[in-house]
Amino acid sequence: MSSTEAQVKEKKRGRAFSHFKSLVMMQLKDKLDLSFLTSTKQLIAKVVFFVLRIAAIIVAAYYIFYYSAFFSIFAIIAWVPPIVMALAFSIIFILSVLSCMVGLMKTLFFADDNRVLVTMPVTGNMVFFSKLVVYYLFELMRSYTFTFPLFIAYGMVSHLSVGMYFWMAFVLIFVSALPVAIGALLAIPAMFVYQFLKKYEPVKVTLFVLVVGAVIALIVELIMLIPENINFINDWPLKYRPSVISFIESAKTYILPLYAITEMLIGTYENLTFTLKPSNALVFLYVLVTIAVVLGIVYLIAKPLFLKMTAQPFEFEKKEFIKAKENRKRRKYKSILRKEFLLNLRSSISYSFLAVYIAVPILILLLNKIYAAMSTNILGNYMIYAFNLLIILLILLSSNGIVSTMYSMEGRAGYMKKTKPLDMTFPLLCKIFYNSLFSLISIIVSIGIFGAFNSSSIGVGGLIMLALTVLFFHIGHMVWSAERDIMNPQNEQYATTGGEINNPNSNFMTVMAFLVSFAVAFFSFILFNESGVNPITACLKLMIIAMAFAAMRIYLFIIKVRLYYREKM
Amino acid sequence: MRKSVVLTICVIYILSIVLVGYLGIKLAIFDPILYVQSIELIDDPYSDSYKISHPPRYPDQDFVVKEYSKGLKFRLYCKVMPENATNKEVEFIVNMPDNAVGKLQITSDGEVSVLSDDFDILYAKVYILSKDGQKARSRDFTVQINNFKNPT
Repeated sequence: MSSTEAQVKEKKRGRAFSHFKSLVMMQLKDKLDLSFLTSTKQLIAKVVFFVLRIAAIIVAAYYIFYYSAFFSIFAIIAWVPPIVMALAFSIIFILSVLSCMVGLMKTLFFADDNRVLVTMPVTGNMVFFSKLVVYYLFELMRSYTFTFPLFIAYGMVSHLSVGMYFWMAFVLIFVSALPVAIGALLAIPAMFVYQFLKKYEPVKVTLFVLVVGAVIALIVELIMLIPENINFINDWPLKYRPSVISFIESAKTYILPLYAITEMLIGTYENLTFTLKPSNALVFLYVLVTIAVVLGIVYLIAKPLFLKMTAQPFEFEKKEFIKAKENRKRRKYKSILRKEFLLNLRSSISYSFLAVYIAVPILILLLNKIYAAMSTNILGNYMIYAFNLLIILLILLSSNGIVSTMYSMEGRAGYMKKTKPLDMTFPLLCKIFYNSLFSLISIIVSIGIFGAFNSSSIGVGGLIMLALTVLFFHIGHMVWSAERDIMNPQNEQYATTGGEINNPNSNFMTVMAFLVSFAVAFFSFILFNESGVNPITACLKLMIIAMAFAAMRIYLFIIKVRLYYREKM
Repeated sequence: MRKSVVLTICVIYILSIVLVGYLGIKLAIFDPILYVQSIELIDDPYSDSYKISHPPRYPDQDFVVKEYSKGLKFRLYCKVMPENATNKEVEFIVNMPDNAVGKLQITSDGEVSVLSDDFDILYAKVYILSKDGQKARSRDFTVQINNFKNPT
């Protein structure tokens, strides 16, 4: 080969690398907010925050490991066996694989930008691998900002030599590629499952309900396992530690490859120290071979699929046939309620509310099960009442932060409200009608659970009053959130950016949620304390205050909305 | 809900449990001191660094036999009963003949180290003693270190 030909080849290779780098950078800029690079001040703040975050993880993990060793939680001597670290690493690894699988499935097979990327002066291979590299870089970042600090903390407690930290840092560069490779491989079957579920909506809904139901049942079952009169300090060595040790030892058989990787990172425990052995180097070799083999399979199977799906002309895509429905005339109030119901069904925000309304009773069950295991005095009982109110209100009221964005989220379509031939208060309140309805169920269940543990001291009447207290505070705060969004609309921002914005209304209402919840909890504690053995008067007072709060917020909402829309009309 | 809000609620949730546990618990009389009743040497539960053996010549005696290598270190484990004893600290008492070649050291953690290598076989009679003042004692056992590679 002549030197000119070699130079041309070298030049081509250099240009290809430059194109590949640009491709990766372009996608990274799309996913990351790199605006801080333009300002030195922001850059310094970002670096300081980054260092502090890592330091905080190291300190927190160090103390967890230190006290686990100190109290002999996982061993009969003051030690944290490496299997504990292997279990932690396994959880992180499995979560990484799942996150890579879902992310890569979307980005490889369903991302709209694929069609744009393939029009660039690069090969299909480059686009395909650039996607994997972007995920690898994210995974690498996650490894160095979370996994590595965790290993550092374990190393500090286990007195690892300084050289081991450098070894860990080096090996993590390669280990981080493993979840990406496995995730990419699993993305192929996941893509078929996703397509199937997308095609058959009833199956998707049934599966969703079954999974949510199973998860709830499992959590409740686990919570109910919490024994009464727990005394961890006295009972740990005899009752709990043997079970924990046998569990982690049996878990070792299921996570053997991940245990081997953990050993490769921290060394093998022998002669009371962790040292690197030839077997650890062999595991490192296995990791490299596995990555290469899995990436090879991904290249052979996923790349053709990726190119096929990207090349599909979207202009001629078959749209599913949507059955036309007759335009029926409905009563104006019913029509608005129906519209809001349909919007709620289609909106992803509904899932957030659903999660909150399911989480509240479960968290209250766990809280009260733990309280039931404690032998509390009368002050403790009042604290339990106050903390129950605090937790229920905190979660419900904080979720109203979303309510304070719902009107603005309509963007420019929001202005259509003015065309409706009725008093504006009704359509505006309809938007929060279904939230109020579902939160009512959540409140009834939560207070019911609270009552199951405390009914002997509060009584059914007191429980009903407490449920009404929570409901009135929730509705009052929800209406306040709606009013805040209507009076200070962010429609234009949502119309132009389309995505999430830093909504000042949401921030304000979240702060208010915390203030109201703490004020109610503090005041309820004082009232229960004053009322002595008969807390019914405290419940009554609380209910009256809540009613007054809700009435005031609804009144203010109505007069402000009427004034606002009259002026703007 | 934002991540920071969820995190704050989690912290408050945990604090609510801790606070009730700290301020709202009924006063209880503390358990009296529980002294160590028995101490027993056990096999290494974490690795196979040693196993208790019973040589045919001394079937009723416990032996811990190890091959010597440079820098040999291992930890002896014991079971202290009752598990909830107030003070479970122990010490390992090593008895070796005055004229013994080679030296063996055991710390209170049970960490065994051999201080010299000019021996063929090193025997040490060991027992474990509780440090809670009641002086509960384990049965004697022998730590045997073989150093057949010793040129002498």
